[in-house]
Amino acid sequence: MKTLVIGYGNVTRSDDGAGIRIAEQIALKNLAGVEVRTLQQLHVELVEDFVGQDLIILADASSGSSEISIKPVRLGEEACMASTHHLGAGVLAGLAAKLYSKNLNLYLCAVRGENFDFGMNLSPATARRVDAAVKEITKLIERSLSHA
Amino acid sequence: MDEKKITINPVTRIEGHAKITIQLGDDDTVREARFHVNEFRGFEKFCEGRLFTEMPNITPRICGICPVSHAVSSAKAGEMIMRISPPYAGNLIRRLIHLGQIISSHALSFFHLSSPDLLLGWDYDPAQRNILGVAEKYPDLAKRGIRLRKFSQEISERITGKKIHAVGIVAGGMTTPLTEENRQALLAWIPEALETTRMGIDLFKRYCDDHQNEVANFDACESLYLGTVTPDGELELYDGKLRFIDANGKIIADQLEPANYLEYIAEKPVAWSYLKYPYYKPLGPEGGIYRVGPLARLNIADRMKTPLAQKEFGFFKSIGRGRPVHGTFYFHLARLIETLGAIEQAEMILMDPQVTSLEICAKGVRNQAEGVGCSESPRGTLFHHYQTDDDGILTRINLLIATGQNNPSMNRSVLEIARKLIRGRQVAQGALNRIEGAIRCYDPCLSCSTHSIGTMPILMEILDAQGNLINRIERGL
Repeated sequence: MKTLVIGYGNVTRSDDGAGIRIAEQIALKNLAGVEVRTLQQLHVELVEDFVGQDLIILADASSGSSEISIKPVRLGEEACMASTHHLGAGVLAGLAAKLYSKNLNLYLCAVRGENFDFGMNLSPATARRVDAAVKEITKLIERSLSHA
Repeated sequence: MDEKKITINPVTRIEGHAKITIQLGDDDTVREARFHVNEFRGFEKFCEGRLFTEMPNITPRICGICPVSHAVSSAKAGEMIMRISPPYAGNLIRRLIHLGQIISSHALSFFHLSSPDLLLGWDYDPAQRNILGVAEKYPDLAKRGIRLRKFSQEISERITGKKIHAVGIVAGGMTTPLTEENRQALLAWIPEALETTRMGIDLFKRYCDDHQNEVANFDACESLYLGTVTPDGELELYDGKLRFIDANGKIIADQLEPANYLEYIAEKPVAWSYLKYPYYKPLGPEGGIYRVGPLARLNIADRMKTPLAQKEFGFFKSIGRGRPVHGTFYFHLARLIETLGAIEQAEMILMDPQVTSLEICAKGVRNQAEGVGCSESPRGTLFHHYQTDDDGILTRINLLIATGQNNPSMNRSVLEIARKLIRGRQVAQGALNRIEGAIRCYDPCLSCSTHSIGTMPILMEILDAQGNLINRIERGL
C-alpha cells in the first residue's frame, strides 16, 4: 500500500507551519510504504503524483473552530480558485476524477493555529495539537493498512 | 449626487487578494474604477538589519509564484555590493532556473487561470468557468497544462532539490550544480513542453479569429513600455539593459544601467491602495505611465533569441502594424511566445557541456555600500536595491515589483472595460468576468508588490447599508 503525507504551510509565520511540523514528525516514524513531503503550498501538478497513491493525507494549519479535524476531501466542496496561492485539496480531487478517472482516498488534517505572525515557533497550544494530530494520522495510516 | 457602487471582491483567479470598485454617476454610467490592494507583506521594512548575503534566501518567500526572480535579483544586488560576477557555469544554471520560473508562472497563468475564459466563454456558468471546467471539456489540454507546469517546477527541483522557494541561488552564483542525470532528465521534457506551448498559441490564435470583435473591443490603453534587452536589441530576460519605448514605438531611452533606475523611474503613493504608482520620471506621473511584463517585453524588443519564438514574434509584431501592440488581451499571446522562447533557451543551456561544471560560485566580501539587482520576472522588470552599513547590514531596501509598475495601467484597463460594459446597477456576470479578465491579463501578484508596513497612505471610507459615507479615516495623506 502506498501512502503519501504532505504537510504544507509557511514555517516563518509561526502556527502556519503546523502542517509542516506534522509531516516532519511523521517522517521520523519511518512508517513502511509512507512517503512524506513538505511544501509551502499545494500546486496543481501534484495531481499526477496523487493518482498512484492508495492513501493521501494533507496536513495544514487552519483558522477554523475545530482544534483538530481529519476529514475525507470531497469533490467540489470548495470554490475553485485555481492559483497556487489558493489551490485547495478539493480541486486536486476534482482534477484526479476528471482527468484520470480516479477517486482519490484523500484526507485533510486541519490543525487550528493561534498565532500567524512572523516567527519560526509554534504557539504552545498549536504544538500540542500537532502532537495529537500526528497520533491521529498514524492511526489512520495503520487502520488503512490493516484494511488493505 | 446619487452614486451607486458595484464591488467585485475578491477578484478570482489572480495571485493574492484584491478588490475592484466601480463607481457610478447620476446617469448610471461608470465614473471611476479602481483596483484595490488590501494585502501588504512588509519585506522592505523587516529585512532591515539583516545581512545582505541572506537576502537571496529570504526574498523568495515574498512569493510562491516567482521566488526565483526575487532570488536572482537579490543575488545580483549582492554581487554589486561585493563587486564580483558568477563563473560561466554559475550563470548558466541561474539562467536555466530563471527560465524555468518564467515557464512555470506563464503556464499557470495561461492554462490554469485564463484558459477557462477562452475555452468556455465569458458568459459560461461561473461555477464551471475554471480549471475543473476545462478539465471536464478539454481534458487533454488540461493535462498538458499541468505537465508543462510539472516540467518547469522540475527544473527547479532537479537543480536545487525544491520546486518552490528554491535554495542555492546566492551572491556569487549557485551552490548546487546540475548533475548529468538531471541534465538528461530535463532534456527529455523539451519536445512535449514545446508541443504544449504551441497548442496554447494555436488556441489563442483560433480564439482571436473566432472573436474578432471581442478582442478588438477588449481594452487597448496606450502606454509607454519598459523591458530589458541586449546591446543589439534582443529580448534578454536575465541580464539586459533597460529600454523604454513610447506609445508609438519610438525608443525614448535605451541601454540604461538598471543600477541607475531611480534616474528614470519615480513612484507616487495613492491614498486608496498599498501599491504605489510608478512612472517614467522624465514625462511625469500622467505622461509617464508605462507597462512591464510579457506584452511590454515583446513591444520593446527587436528580436527574440530563438527560432520558434522569433517566428511567433513576427506574427505578434504584425498585429501592431508598425506600432506597439497595446491590446491588453495580447498579454496572453506574449506570455505564450515567451514560454516558447524560454523552453528553447532552456534546451540550448542544457546542451552546453559547461552546464554540469562544478565551478559555479565566486566568493567575495562587501566592497561597496550599495547594490541594485535587476531581472525580468514573469510579470515584468524586477529591481532589488540594497544599502548596507560597513558590516554589510541592510539599512535600506527598495523592491520595485512588476505588478506595482503595472498598477496605473491596470486601473485604466478596468475603467475602459467598465465604461463599455456597465450601465446602471444591472451587470451581467459576463461583464464582471471581463473586468476580472482584464486584470488577469496582467497576471498581477499582489502579495509581492505591496510595500512596507506603517508607511503607506491609507484612506478608509465607511459606508452604511444604503451606501452613504458615514466616516472617513485618513493616514499619511
